[in-house]
Amino acid sequence: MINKKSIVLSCVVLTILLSTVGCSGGKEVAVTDNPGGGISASKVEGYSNIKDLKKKAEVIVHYKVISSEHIEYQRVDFTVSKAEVLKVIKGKVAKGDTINILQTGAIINGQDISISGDNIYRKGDESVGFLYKYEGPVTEDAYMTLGINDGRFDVKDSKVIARGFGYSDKSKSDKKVKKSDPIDEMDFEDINQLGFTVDEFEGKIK
Amino acid sequence: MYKRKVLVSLFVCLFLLAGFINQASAYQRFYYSGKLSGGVYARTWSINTMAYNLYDTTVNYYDRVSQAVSNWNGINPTSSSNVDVSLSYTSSYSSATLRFNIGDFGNTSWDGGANFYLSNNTKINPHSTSGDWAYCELAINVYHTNRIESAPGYTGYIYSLNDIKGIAAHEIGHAFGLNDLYGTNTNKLMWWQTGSDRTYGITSDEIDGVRTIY
Repeated sequence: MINKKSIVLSCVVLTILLSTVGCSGGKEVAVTDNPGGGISASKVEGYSNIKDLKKKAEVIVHYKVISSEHIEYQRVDFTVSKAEVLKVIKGKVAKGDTINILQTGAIINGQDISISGDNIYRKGDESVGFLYKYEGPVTEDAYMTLGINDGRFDVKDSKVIARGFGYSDKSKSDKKVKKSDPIDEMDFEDINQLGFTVDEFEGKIK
Repeated sequence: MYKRKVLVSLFVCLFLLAGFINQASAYQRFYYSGKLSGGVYARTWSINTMAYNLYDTTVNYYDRVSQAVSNWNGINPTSSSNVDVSLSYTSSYSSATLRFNIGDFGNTSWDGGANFYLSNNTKINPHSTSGDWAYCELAINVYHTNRIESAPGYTGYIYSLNDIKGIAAHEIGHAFGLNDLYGTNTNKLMWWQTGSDRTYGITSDEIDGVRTIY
Protein backbone atom coordinates (compact mmCIF):
# COMPACT_ATOMS: atom_id res chain seq x y z
CA MET A 1 0.00 0.00 0.00
CA ILE A 2 1.48 3.31 -1.06
CA ASN A 3 1.43 6.00 1.54
CA LYS A 4 0.10 9.22 -0.02
CA LYS A 5 2.15 11.43 2.29
CA SER A 6 5.35 9.62 1.40
CA ILE A 7 4.76 10.21 -2.33
CA VAL A 8 4.22 13.92 -1.81
CA LEU A 9 7.23 14.09 0.51
CA SER A 10 9.39 12.18 -2.00
CA CYS A 11 8.52 14.64 -4.75
CA VAL A 12 9.44 17.62 -2.58
CA VAL A 13 12.71 16.00 -1.46
CA LEU A 14 13.56 15.11 -5.07
CA THR A 15 13.00 18.70 -6.17
CA ILE A 16 15.18 20.08 -3.39
CA LEU A 17 17.93 17.56 -4.19
CA LEU A 18 17.87 18.35 -7.91
CA SER A 19 17.90 22.06 -7.25
CA THR A 20 20.83 21.79 -4.83
CA VAL A 21 22.92 19.59 -7.12
CA GLY A 22 22.06 21.76 -10.10
CA CYS A 23 22.88 25.03 -8.38
CA SER A 24 26.29 23.86 -7.26
CA GLY A 25 27.06 22.51 -10.71
CA GLY A 26 25.78 25.43 -12.75
CA LYS A 27 24.98 25.11 -16.42
CA GLU A 28 28.02 24.89 -18.59
CA VAL A 29 27.57 26.09 -22.12
CA ALA A 30 28.34 23.14 -24.36
CA VAL A 31 31.66 23.08 -26.15
CA THR A 32 30.98 21.59 -29.55
CA ASP A 33 34.53 21.38 -30.77
CA ASN A 34 38.03 22.03 -29.49
CA PRO A 35 38.58 25.60 -30.63
CA GLY A 36 42.34 25.37 -30.09
CA GLY A 37 44.22 28.49 -29.20
CA GLY A 38 46.45 29.16 -26.24
CA ILE A 39 45.72 32.85 -25.83
CA SER A 40 42.34 33.96 -24.56
CA ALA A 41 41.70 37.34 -26.09
CA SER A 42 39.18 40.06 -25.46
CA LYS A 43 38.19 41.21 -28.93
CA VAL A 44 37.89 44.81 -30.03
CA GLU A 45 35.67 43.94 -32.98
CA GLY A 46 34.03 40.97 -34.61
CA TYR A 47 32.47 40.17 -37.97
CA SER A 48 29.61 37.81 -38.74
CA ASN A 49 29.28 38.05 -42.49
CA ILE A 50 31.07 38.73 -45.78
CA LYS A 51 29.32 42.04 -46.34
CA ASP A 52 30.92 43.65 -43.27
CA LEU A 53 34.28 42.05 -43.96
CA LYS A 54 34.32 43.32 -47.56
CA LYS A 55 33.41 46.81 -46.44
CA LYS A 56 36.22 47.02 -43.87
CA ALA A 57 39.00 45.10 -45.65
CA GLU A 58 41.81 47.13 -47.21
CA VAL A 59 42.99 44.06 -49.07
CA ILE A 60 41.28 40.77 -49.94
CA VAL A 61 43.69 38.17 -51.29
CA HIS A 62 44.21 34.45 -51.71
CA TYR A 63 47.71 33.69 -50.45
CA LYS A 64 50.05 30.81 -49.74
CA VAL A 65 52.48 30.90 -46.81
CA ILE A 66 56.16 30.65 -47.75
CA SER A 67 57.78 31.00 -44.32
CA SER A 68 57.06 32.11 -40.75
CA GLU A 69 59.10 33.92 -38.11
CA HIS A 70 58.46 34.08 -34.37
CA ILE A 71 58.76 37.52 -32.76
CA GLU A 72 58.46 38.21 -29.04
CA TYR A 73 57.47 41.75 -28.19
CA GLN A 74 57.14 42.79 -24.56
CA ARG A 75 56.58 39.17 -23.54
CA VAL A 76 53.76 38.66 -26.04
CA ASP A 77 54.36 36.23 -28.92
CA PHE A 78 53.72 37.18 -32.52
CA THR A 79 54.37 35.45 -35.84
CA VAL A 80 55.09 37.16 -39.13
CA SER A 81 54.48 34.93 -42.14
CA LYS A 82 55.66 35.72 -45.63
CA ALA A 83 53.00 34.76 -48.15
CA GLU A 84 52.78 34.73 -51.92
CA VAL A 85 49.69 36.37 -53.38
CA LEU A 86 47.90 33.87 -55.62
CA LYS A 87 44.89 36.01 -56.46
CA VAL A 88 43.76 39.57 -55.72
CA ILE A 89 40.11 40.27 -55.04
CA LYS A 90 40.55 43.78 -53.63
CA GLY A 91 43.43 46.13 -52.85
CA LYS A 92 46.68 47.51 -54.10
CA VAL A 93 48.68 44.32 -54.31
CA ALA A 94 49.41 42.17 -57.34
CA LYS A 95 49.46 38.47 -58.06
CA GLY A 96 52.95 37.15 -57.30
CA ASP A 97 53.68 39.81 -54.64
CA THR A 98 54.95 38.74 -51.25
CA ILE A 99 53.02 40.13 -48.29
CA ASN A 100 53.58 39.78 -44.55
CA ILE A 101 50.78 38.46 -42.34
CA LEU A 102 51.05 39.23 -38.62
CA GLN A 103 49.38 36.95 -36.09
CA THR A 104 49.30 37.08 -32.30
CA GLY A 105 50.87 33.89 -30.96
CA ALA A 106 53.51 31.46 -32.11
CA ILE A 107 54.40 27.83 -32.38
CA ILE A 108 56.31 27.20 -29.17
CA ASN A 109 57.94 23.82 -28.53
CA GLY A 110 55.76 22.42 -31.29
CA GLN A 111 52.62 23.67 -29.60
CA ASP A 112 50.28 26.11 -31.31
CA ILE A 113 49.85 29.03 -28.91
CA SER A 114 47.41 31.24 -30.77
CA ILE A 115 44.10 32.99 -30.39
CA SER A 116 41.19 30.58 -30.86
CA GLY A 117 40.32 30.18 -34.53
CA ASP A 118 43.53 31.79 -35.75
CA ASN A 119 46.00 28.91 -35.67
CA ILE A 120 49.56 29.95 -36.49
CA TYR A 121 50.41 29.60 -40.16
CA ARG A 122 52.87 26.99 -41.30
CA LYS A 123 54.66 26.78 -44.64
CA GLY A 124 52.27 25.76 -47.40
CA ASP A 125 49.08 26.95 -45.68
CA GLU A 126 46.64 28.77 -47.94
CA SER A 127 43.91 31.24 -47.07
CA VAL A 128 41.65 33.85 -48.52
CA GLY A 129 42.16 36.77 -46.16
CA PHE A 130 40.21 39.95 -45.50
CA LEU A 131 43.12 42.06 -44.32
CA TYR A 132 43.97 45.44 -42.82
CA LYS A 133 47.31 47.16 -42.45
CA TYR A 134 49.03 46.66 -39.10
CA GLU A 135 50.19 49.81 -37.32
CA GLY A 136 52.35 49.34 -34.27
CA PRO A 137 55.72 48.52 -32.83
CA VAL A 138 55.81 44.74 -33.42
CA THR A 139 56.75 44.79 -37.11
CA GLU A 140 56.66 46.96 -40.21
CA ASP A 141 54.79 46.48 -43.45
CA ALA A 142 52.42 43.71 -42.40
CA TYR A 143 48.73 42.92 -42.60
CA MET A 144 46.46 41.37 -40.01
CA THR A 145 43.20 39.50 -40.53
CA LEU A 146 40.04 41.43 -39.67
CA GLY A 147 38.50 40.27 -36.41
CA ILE A 148 41.50 37.95 -35.76
CA ASN A 149 39.91 34.80 -37.22
CA ASP A 150 36.68 36.27 -38.65
CA GLY A 151 38.33 37.41 -41.88
CA ARG A 152 40.25 34.18 -42.37
CA PHE A 153 39.03 31.55 -44.81
CA ASP A 154 41.43 28.63 -45.07
CA VAL A 155 41.77 26.71 -48.30
CA LYS A 156 42.16 22.96 -47.95
CA ASP A 157 41.88 20.58 -50.90
CA SER A 158 40.44 23.50 -52.91
CA LYS A 159 37.59 23.92 -50.39
CA VAL A 160 37.07 27.04 -48.28
CA ILE A 161 36.76 26.76 -44.51
CA ALA A 162 35.62 29.85 -42.59
CA ARG A 163 37.60 30.22 -39.36
CA GLY A 164 35.29 32.81 -37.82
CA PHE A 165 32.94 31.59 -35.10
CA GLY A 166 30.09 33.88 -36.09
CA TYR A 167 28.27 35.83 -33.46
CA SER A 168 24.72 35.77 -34.75
CA ASP A 169 22.01 34.00 -32.81
CA LYS A 170 21.13 31.08 -35.08
CA SER A 171 18.03 30.29 -33.05
CA LYS A 172 16.46 33.48 -34.40
CA SER A 173 16.59 32.31 -38.00
CA ASP A 174 15.62 28.97 -39.47
CA LYS A 175 16.11 30.21 -43.02
CA LYS A 176 17.89 27.65 -45.19
CA VAL A 177 20.47 29.11 -47.52
CA LYS A 178 21.48 27.73 -50.90
CA LYS A 179 24.78 27.98 -52.73
CA SER A 180 23.11 30.15 -55.35
CA ASP A 181 22.08 32.77 -52.73
CA PRO A 182 24.14 35.97 -52.38
CA ILE A 183 27.07 35.28 -50.06
CA ASP A 184 27.09 38.70 -48.41
CA GLU A 185 24.54 37.86 -45.73
CA MET A 186 25.52 34.24 -45.16
CA ASP A 187 27.11 33.50 -41.83
CA PHE A 188 30.27 31.44 -41.46
CA GLU A 189 28.41 28.28 -40.50
CA ASP A 190 26.37 28.51 -43.71
CA ILE A 191 29.52 28.99 -45.77
CA ASN A 192 31.13 25.92 -44.23
CA GLN A 193 28.01 23.79 -44.62
CA LEU A 194 27.61 24.72 -48.29
CA GLY A 195 31.19 23.67 -49.03
CA PHE A 196 32.33 26.29 -51.51
CA THR A 197 35.35 25.61 -53.67
CA VAL A 198 37.90 28.39 -53.59
CA ASP A 199 36.96 29.41 -57.14
CA GLU A 200 33.26 29.57 -56.25
CA PHE A 201 34.04 31.55 -53.08
CA GLU A 202 36.30 34.04 -54.82
CA GLY A 203 33.74 34.49 -57.57
CA LYS A 204 31.04 35.26 -55.04
CA ILE A 205 32.96 37.71 -52.86
CA LYS A 206 34.08 39.89 -55.80
CA MET B 1 -8.59 12.56 -4.43
CA TYR B 2 -5.40 10.54 -4.12
CA LYS B 3 -4.57 10.85 -7.83
CA ARG B 4 -5.27 14.55 -7.75
CA LYS B 5 -2.86 15.10 -4.87
CA VAL B 6 -0.14 13.17 -6.66
CA LEU B 7 -0.69 15.11 -9.87
CA VAL B 8 -0.62 18.44 -8.06
CA SER B 9 2.60 17.43 -6.28
CA LEU B 10 4.23 16.41 -9.53
CA PHE B 11 3.14 19.64 -11.18
CA VAL B 12 4.63 21.69 -8.35
CA CYS B 13 7.89 19.71 -8.61
CA LEU B 14 8.13 20.24 -12.35
CA PHE B 15 7.33 23.91 -11.98
CA LEU B 16 10.09 24.39 -9.42
CA LEU B 17 12.52 22.40 -11.56
CA ALA B 18 11.70 24.44 -14.66
CA GLY B 19 12.25 27.61 -12.67
CA PHE B 20 15.63 26.34 -11.56
CA ILE B 21 16.66 25.43 -15.11
CA ASN B 22 15.74 28.88 -16.38
CA GLN B 23 17.79 30.51 -13.65
CA ALA B 24 20.80 28.23 -14.11
CA SER B 25 24.01 30.04 -14.75
CA ALA B 26 25.93 30.06 -18.01
CA TYR B 27 29.65 29.78 -18.06
CA GLN B 28 32.10 27.82 -20.09
CA ARG B 29 35.36 26.20 -19.16
CA PHE B 30 38.33 25.52 -21.39
CA TYR B 31 38.19 22.37 -23.46
CA TYR B 32 39.95 20.07 -21.00
CA SER B 33 38.65 21.94 -17.94
CA GLY B 34 42.02 23.14 -16.68
CA LYS B 35 42.40 25.57 -13.80
CA LEU B 36 44.83 27.70 -11.86
CA SER B 37 47.08 25.31 -10.00
CA GLY B 38 46.97 26.02 -6.28
CA GLY B 39 43.52 27.57 -6.42
CA VAL B 40 42.26 31.11 -5.97
CA TYR B 41 42.92 31.68 -2.25
CA ALA B 42 45.91 33.68 -1.00
CA ARG B 43 47.27 34.42 -4.47
CA THR B 44 49.05 37.51 -5.72
CA TRP B 45 48.80 39.93 -8.61
CA SER B 46 51.20 42.49 -10.02
CA ILE B 47 51.46 45.00 -12.84
CA ASN B 48 54.42 46.09 -14.95
CA THR B 49 53.25 49.67 -15.58
CA MET B 50 51.11 51.60 -13.11
CA ALA B 51 49.99 54.26 -15.59
CA TYR B 52 50.41 54.66 -19.34
CA ASN B 53 50.48 57.85 -21.36
CA LEU B 54 49.38 57.69 -24.99
CA TYR B 55 47.40 60.09 -27.19
CA ASP B 56 48.18 62.78 -24.57
CA THR B 57 46.08 60.80 -22.13
CA THR B 58 47.29 59.06 -19.02
CA VAL B 59 45.33 56.07 -17.81
CA ASN B 60 45.97 54.67 -14.35
CA TYR B 61 45.97 50.92 -14.98
CA TYR B 62 46.87 50.05 -11.40
CA ASP B 63 43.58 51.55 -10.22
CA ARG B 64 41.55 49.75 -12.92
CA VAL B 65 43.12 46.38 -12.14
CA SER B 66 42.74 46.98 -8.38
CA GLN B 67 39.01 47.51 -8.90
CA ALA B 68 38.74 44.32 -10.94
CA VAL B 69 40.64 42.38 -8.27
CA SER B 70 38.40 43.78 -5.50
CA ASN B 71 35.41 42.65 -7.50
CA TRP B 72 36.69 39.07 -7.74
CA ASN B 73 37.77 39.15 -4.07
CA GLY B 74 34.07 39.51 -3.29
CA ILE B 75 33.64 35.76 -3.79
CA ASN B 76 33.63 34.50 -0.23
CA PRO B 77 32.69 31.18 1.41
CA THR B 78 29.01 30.48 1.90
CA SER B 79 27.03 27.66 3.46
CA SER B 80 27.20 25.78 0.15
CA SER B 81 30.69 26.74 -1.09
CA ASN B 82 34.12 26.95 0.49
CA VAL B 83 35.58 28.94 -2.37
CA ASP B 84 37.26 32.12 -1.20
CA VAL B 85 38.90 34.32 -3.82
CA SER B 86 41.74 36.24 -2.28
CA LEU B 87 44.19 38.15 -4.44
CA SER B 88 46.67 40.62 -2.98
CA TYR B 89 49.08 42.99 -4.67
CA THR B 90 52.80 42.34 -4.82
CA SER B 91 55.45 44.59 -6.33
CA SER B 92 57.37 41.49 -7.41
CA TYR B 93 56.04 41.04 -10.94
CA SER B 94 58.05 37.89 -11.63
CA SER B 95 56.64 36.03 -8.65
CA ALA B 96 52.97 37.03 -8.95
CA THR B 97 50.26 34.56 -9.91
CA LEU B 98 48.49 37.11 -12.11
CA ARG B 99 50.84 39.44 -14.00
CA PHE B 100 49.28 42.38 -15.79
CA ASN B 101 51.36 43.26 -18.83
CA ILE B 102 50.38 46.78 -19.89
CA GLY B 103 51.77 47.76 -23.29
CA ASP B 104 51.23 49.21 -26.74
CA PHE B 105 50.94 46.27 -29.12
CA GLY B 106 49.49 48.26 -32.02
CA ASN B 107 46.17 47.96 -33.81
CA THR B 108 45.61 44.27 -33.19
CA SER B 109 41.94 43.24 -32.97
CA TRP B 110 42.33 42.48 -29.26
CA ASP B 111 42.50 44.77 -26.26
CA GLY B 112 43.23 42.08 -23.70
CA GLY B 113 44.80 38.65 -23.78
CA ALA B 114 45.66 35.91 -21.30
CA ASN B 115 48.74 33.70 -21.59
CA PHE B 116 49.06 30.57 -19.46
CA TYR B 117 52.31 29.20 -18.00
CA LEU B 118 53.56 26.13 -16.18
CA SER B 119 55.82 26.70 -13.16
CA ASN B 120 58.87 26.10 -15.40
CA ASN B 121 57.81 29.17 -17.45
CA THR B 122 56.61 27.10 -20.42
CA LYS B 123 53.60 28.60 -22.16
CA ILE B 124 50.69 26.22 -22.50
CA ASN B 125 47.40 26.07 -24.32
CA PRO B 126 44.59 25.91 -21.73
CA HIS B 127 42.46 23.98 -24.22
CA SER B 128 45.11 21.26 -24.47
CA THR B 129 45.92 18.37 -22.17
CA SER B 130 49.02 20.17 -20.84
CA GLY B 131 47.45 20.34 -17.40
CA ASP B 132 46.76 23.16 -14.97
CA TRP B 133 48.71 26.39 -15.16
CA ALA B 134 50.85 27.92 -12.42
CA TYR B 135 50.51 31.57 -13.40
CA CYS B 136 49.13 33.84 -16.10
CA GLU B 137 50.32 36.90 -17.88
CA LEU B 138 47.41 39.17 -18.74
CA ALA B 139 48.14 41.71 -21.48
CA ILE B 140 46.19 44.92 -21.93
CA ASN B 141 46.73 46.71 -25.24
CA VAL B 142 46.87 50.44 -24.54
CA TYR B 143 46.74 51.18 -28.28
CA HIS B 144 42.99 50.66 -27.81
CA THR B 145 42.37 51.19 -24.12
CA ASN B 146 44.04 54.60 -23.89
CA ARG B 147 41.36 55.88 -26.30
CA ILE B 148 39.23 57.25 -23.51
CA GLU B 149 38.59 60.58 -25.20
CA SER B 150 37.45 61.40 -28.71
CA ALA B 151 40.07 62.90 -31.00
CA PRO B 152 39.91 64.59 -34.40
CA GLY B 153 39.78 61.99 -37.16
CA TYR B 154 39.31 59.06 -34.79
CA THR B 155 36.14 57.09 -35.50
CA GLY B 156 36.77 53.96 -33.43
CA TYR B 157 35.47 52.88 -30.07
CA ILE B 158 35.97 55.22 -27.12
CA TYR B 159 36.77 53.24 -23.98
CA SER B 160 35.43 54.12 -20.57
CA LEU B 161 37.43 53.52 -17.41
CA ASN B 162 34.83 50.88 -16.56
CA ASP B 163 35.55 49.13 -19.87
CA ILE B 164 39.20 48.84 -18.83
CA LYS B 165 38.20 47.51 -15.41
CA GLY B 166 35.97 45.03 -17.29
CA ILE B 167 38.86 43.88 -19.49
CA ALA B 168 41.04 43.30 -16.42
CA ALA B 169 38.23 41.38 -14.69
CA HIS B 170 37.55 39.39 -17.89
CA GLU B 171 41.20 38.36 -18.13
CA ILE B 172 41.20 37.30 -14.47
CA GLY B 173 38.22 35.11 -15.38
CA HIS B 174 40.37 33.43 -18.04
CA ALA B 175 43.20 32.94 -15.53
CA PHE B 176 40.69 31.20 -13.25
CA GLY B 177 39.65 28.83 -16.08
CA LEU B 178 36.62 30.50 -17.64
CA ASN B 179 36.30 30.65 -21.42
CA ASP B 180 34.71 33.34 -23.60
CA LEU B 181 30.95 33.33 -24.12
CA TYR B 182 29.12 33.90 -27.41
CA GLY B 183 25.59 33.63 -28.82
CA THR B 184 22.85 34.69 -26.48
CA ASN B 185 25.12 35.01 -23.44
CA THR B 186 25.25 38.80 -23.35
CA ASN B 187 25.50 40.84 -20.16
CA LYS B 188 28.15 38.61 -18.70
CA LEU B 189 31.75 39.39 -17.84
CA MET B 190 33.06 36.60 -20.05
CA TRP B 191 31.31 37.96 -23.17
CA TRP B 192 33.91 37.87 -25.96
CA GLN B 193 33.93 41.54 -26.93
CA THR B 194 34.53 44.77 -25.06
CA GLY B 195 31.46 46.99 -25.21
CA SER B 196 27.89 47.25 -24.09
CA ASP B 197 27.23 43.48 -24.12
CA ARG B 198 29.89 42.79 -21.49
CA THR B 199 29.45 43.64 -17.83
CA TYR B 200 32.22 45.48 -15.99
CA GLY B 201 32.23 43.04 -13.12
CA ILE B 202 31.45 39.48 -12.11
CA THR B 203 27.89 38.20 -12.32
CA SER B 204 26.29 35.17 -10.69
CA ASP B 205 27.43 33.16 -13.73
CA GLU B 206 31.13 33.78 -13.16
CA ILE B 207 30.67 33.20 -9.44
CA ASP B 208 28.98 29.84 -10.13
CA GLY B 209 31.73 28.96 -12.59
CA VAL B 210 34.57 29.66 -10.18
CA ARG B 211 32.78 27.91 -7.32
CA THR B 212 32.37 24.84 -9.51
CA ILE B 213 35.97 24.84 -10.76
CA TYR B 214 37.53 25.25 -7.30
